[in-house]
Amino acid sequence: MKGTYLGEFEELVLLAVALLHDDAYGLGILDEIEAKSGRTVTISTIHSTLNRLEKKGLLTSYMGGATTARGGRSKRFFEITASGRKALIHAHKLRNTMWDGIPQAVWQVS
Amino acid sequence: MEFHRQFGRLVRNIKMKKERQSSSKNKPPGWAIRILRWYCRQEYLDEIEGDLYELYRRRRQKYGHFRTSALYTMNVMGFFRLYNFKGFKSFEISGVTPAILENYFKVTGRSFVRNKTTSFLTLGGLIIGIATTLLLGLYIYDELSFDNFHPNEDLTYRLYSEYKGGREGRDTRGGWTYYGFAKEIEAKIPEVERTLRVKMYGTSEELMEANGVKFNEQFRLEAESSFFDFFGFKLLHGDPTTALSEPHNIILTEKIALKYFNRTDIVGENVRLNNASDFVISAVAEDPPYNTHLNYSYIVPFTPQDNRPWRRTCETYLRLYKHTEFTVLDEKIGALAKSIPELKYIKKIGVLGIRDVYLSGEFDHGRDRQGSMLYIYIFSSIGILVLIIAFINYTNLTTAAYLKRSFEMGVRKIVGAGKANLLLQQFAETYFFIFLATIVAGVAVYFLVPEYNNFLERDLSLSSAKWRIIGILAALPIVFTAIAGLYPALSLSNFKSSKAIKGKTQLGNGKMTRKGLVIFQFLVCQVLILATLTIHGQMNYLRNKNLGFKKDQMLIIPLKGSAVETHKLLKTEFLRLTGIISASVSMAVPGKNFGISFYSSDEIEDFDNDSLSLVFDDFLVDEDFFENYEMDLVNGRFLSRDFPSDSANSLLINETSLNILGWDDPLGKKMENKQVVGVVKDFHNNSLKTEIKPLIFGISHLAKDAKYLSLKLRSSDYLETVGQLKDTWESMITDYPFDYFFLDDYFDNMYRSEERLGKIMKSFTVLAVFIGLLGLIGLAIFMTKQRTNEIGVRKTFGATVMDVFGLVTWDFLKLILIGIIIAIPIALYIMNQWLQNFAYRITPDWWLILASSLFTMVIALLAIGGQTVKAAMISPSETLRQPIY
Repeated sequence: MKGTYLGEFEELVLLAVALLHDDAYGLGILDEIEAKSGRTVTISTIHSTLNRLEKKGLLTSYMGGATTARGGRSKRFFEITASGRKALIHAHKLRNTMWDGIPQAVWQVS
Repeated sequence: MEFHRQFGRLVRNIKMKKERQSSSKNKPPGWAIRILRWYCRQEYLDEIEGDLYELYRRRRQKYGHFRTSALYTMNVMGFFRLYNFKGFKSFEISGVTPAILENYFKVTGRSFVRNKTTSFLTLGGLIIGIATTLLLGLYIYDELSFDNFHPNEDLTYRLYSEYKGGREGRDTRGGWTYYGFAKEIEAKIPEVERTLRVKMYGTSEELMEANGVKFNEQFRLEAESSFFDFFGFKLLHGDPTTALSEPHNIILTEKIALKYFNRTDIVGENVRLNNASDFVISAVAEDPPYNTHLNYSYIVPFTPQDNRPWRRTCETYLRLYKHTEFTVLDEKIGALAKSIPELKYIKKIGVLGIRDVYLSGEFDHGRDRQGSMLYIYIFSSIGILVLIIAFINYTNLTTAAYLKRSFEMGVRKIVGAGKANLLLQQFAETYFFIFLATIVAGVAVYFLVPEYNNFLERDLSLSSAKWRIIGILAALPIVFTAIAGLYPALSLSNFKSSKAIKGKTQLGNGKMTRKGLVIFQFLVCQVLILATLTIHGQMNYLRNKNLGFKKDQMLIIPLKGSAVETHKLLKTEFLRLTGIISASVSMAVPGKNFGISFYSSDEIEDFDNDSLSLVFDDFLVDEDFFENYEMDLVNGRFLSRDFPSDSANSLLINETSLNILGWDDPLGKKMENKQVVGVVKDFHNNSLKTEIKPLIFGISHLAKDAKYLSLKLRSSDYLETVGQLKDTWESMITDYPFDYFFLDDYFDNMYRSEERLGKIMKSFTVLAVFIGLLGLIGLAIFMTKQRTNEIGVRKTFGATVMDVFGLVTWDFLKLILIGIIIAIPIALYIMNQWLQNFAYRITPDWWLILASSLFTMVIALLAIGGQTVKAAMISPSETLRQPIY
C-alpha cells in the first residue's frame, strides 16, 4: 500500500515477529521486546499493535494448539507477510540512507 | 467440526475444574476471568486469556497471590478496547469521505423538509426542553454559588448550636453560639487559625438619621475589626484595616449612602441611630452580592461584653490553617463545648462550611435568605424530566420516520455501508437537530433571563457564569446527541437490508419501545400536573383558611420612640378618620413578636402534671383587641372595660391551653394571681406550618408594652386612608417616620418559598405537557399515515368514520391512560411527603385526581384528534390506491 507508515513501536513488534520466526505469539513478542529494548510494555498494547499490523496486511496469523500452561487456551501465532518484509526492508533502507548521509563533522564535535 | 469444538470445550472444562480444585490461590481471580469472557470476542478470547494465564503463572512464581491477581485484573482492564468487544465485529467505518458526510447532511435536510410538520414538532420540543433545562440550571448554579467569593472559603466554617426540646419537642438549632466560645477555640484547637465574631440583626428595624433624612433600616451587622480581611466583601472608600477599630465607627453600604447623601465619598460624616447613639462614617462598602447569607446594609463594631462570655450570643466563624477532615473538626468543637460547664444545657455545638450555611436554611430562622437543598433536588429533577420528555419525542418521531426511510437505509447497506456507517449517519442527523435546538435555546434563554429574574424575584446573570455557560452550550450537543441518538441509531442500524428493500417496514422492533416511551412521557406529565395541583390547592388553603381572626383590611403600625408614650392619643386621633372602623393597641399581633410566659404547675390551680411543658404564648393587649380582630369565644367573656378588675386580675386562655390544663370548668380558675374569665376559640397566631400553641391573653398596663397599633380599614379607599394616617402621624410624631404593613401581606409572606415552588412547578409543568403533546401529534401523524391502507380496507368492509376514529384514538389513549394510572400513586406519595411540612394541610382530593386525569386525556385527544379524523375521513378509493412507504 502506498504510504504505509510504520510507527516506532509497530516496527519493533514487526521486527520481533520476524526474529521469533516460528514462535511469534503475544507473550513471546512481549518478552522479546522487553528484553531487547529494556522497557516495560503491557500485553494489551502488544495485542492491539499485532491486530493493527494484521489489518494493514503486514502480518498474518494462525491458531496453534492448546496447552495446560495456558489454562487450556490456544496461542495465536503471527507470521510476517511479503508486504511486511517489504515494509521492514524499506524502513531499514531509509535509516541506512539517512545514517550514511550524516556528515562526519557531526560525530567529531564532542 | 461442531462435535470437535464441543469436545474440546468439554475437555477444557474438565481440566480447568481440576486445576481450580487444586488451589484457588494459584489461579487468576475468577471474577476477572468472567468479566473478560463476558466482554471479549470469542475469536480473540483464546489468545488473550491464554497469554494472560501464562503471564499470571510466571508472575505468581515471583510475587504473592494478591499482587499477581491485581496485576491480572489490570491486564484484563487493559484489553477494554472496542475491537475486542463482542458485537463489534463489523464495527468498522468505511469510506467516510467528505462527500459522504455532505450526503448525510443533504439527506437530513431533505427529510427535514419533506416532513415539515413533524420536523418542527421535534425541533420545537427539543428547543423548549433544552431552554428549560438551561434556565433551571442557571437558577441551581446560582443557588449553589452562595458565599463562593470569600478568600479560603473552603477553610471557613460557621458554628451552630443545637438545643434539646424546642417548642414542638423538636431540637432547636441556631446559627449562633456564645461570645466566649471563640476565644476558647482559638486557645484550645490548634487547627484553627483565627475566629471572627459578628452579630446579625436581620430584618429587625432601627431608625437611621443622617444628612437630615430619617428612614427605618434593616440588616444591621456588628463585626469584629478584621471583617473585611476575613470575608470577601469590598470597600469603596476607607481603610479596611481600621474601618471598624473605633467603637463609634459605622460603615454604610453604597445603597444606603446614596439613599441619604446621594453620593458615596462621605467618610467622616455623622450618622445617628435610634435618636440616641452617634456614629462617624469610617468607610463605604460595596453592596454585598446577593449570593451571601451574610447580608448587611450597615456595619458597626462588635463590642463583646467579655465579663459575660456565656450570656449573650453571636455568630462565630472559623478559619483553618489547612484542610481538616470535617468530622474531626466537628467532633473537636463538640468535645470542647462539652468541657465548658456553662454550656452544659446545649446539646451540641458543631460546624458548617460557609458555603453550606445558605442551603441549610433551617439554622437561620427569620433571616431573609434561606436556601433549601430539597428545592434544589426538586428543580434539578424537573429539569432532567423535561429534557427526557423532549428526548423521548425525538426518539419516537425519528424511529417512526424510519418507516419512510428504511428503503434508503437498505440501499445504503447494499452499496457497502456497514452498521457503523449507518450509526454514524444517524448520530450526524441527531447532532444536526440538537445543535440547531441548542443554538435557538441558548439565544432564547439570553433574552428570557430578565423575565425569568422577575419571575423568580432574583438577580441571576448570565455574565457571572459566562464561560461556564459557553462551555456547557458547546458540550451539550455532543452529550445530548449521544443520549438522544443512541436508541434511534441502534434500532435503525439493525434493519435487515433485504427486507427493507422489499418494502417491509419491520416496525415490530421499535413499536414496544415507542409505546413504553409514550407511557413514560405521560406518566411524568401527570405526576407534574398532580404535584402542581396539590401545591396550588395547599397554597389556596393557606391563603384562605379562616385563621380565627380578621387579617384582611388590617393595617398594623409598629410603635416606636415617642409614639409608644402617646399611643392612646394616636389611637383616638386615628379613630376620627372615616376610613378606620376600629383600632387596638397590643404588645403583639398574630404572627409577630409575642412574648412567652412560664408557669410551674404549683402556680396553676387544679393542675399537677409536671411532665407537660407549661410555656404559653403571651399576648398583652387592650380591651378593644378582641372586637377589632373579630375573635370568637367558646366560654365565659372577653376582657372588658366594664370589669375594672380585668386589667390587673383577669386573663383569657385559648382552647389548646384548656386541653393541656384539662379543666372541666375553666372559669374562675387561678393561674398565679390571675383568674381565667374566658376561653378564646383557637386561632392561628403563626404560620400554618406549625401547630396552634397554648396561649394566654392579658391586659397590658405598661406604656412600653404598646408595640403595635392595629387599624381595621373600611374597604373603600386604602390609599386615601393611608395618606390621612401618614399626615396625622407626622403632625404628632417627629422622631420616627410613619411605617406600616398589612397583616394579610405579612401572612402571605410566610409562604414565599412555597409560592415560588408553586410558580416554577406550574410553568414547567405546562412546558412539559406541551412538549409531550408535540410528540404525541407527531406520532399520530406517522401512525395514521402508516395505517391508511388498513383504514381503507376497514372502511371498504363497512366501518364508519366513528369506528375508525375510535380504533385509532384508542391506541393512543390506552397508553396515556396507563401512564396516568401509574402516575397517581407516585404523585400521591411525593406530595404527601411535601405536605408533611405543614401542620395544617389538605388531603389530595379524589375528584381532583380524576378531573386532572380526564383533563390530560381530553387534551391528548384534542391533540391527536385532527390527525385521526383526517385519516378516518379519507375515502378508501384513494387510500387503497396509494403504495405504502
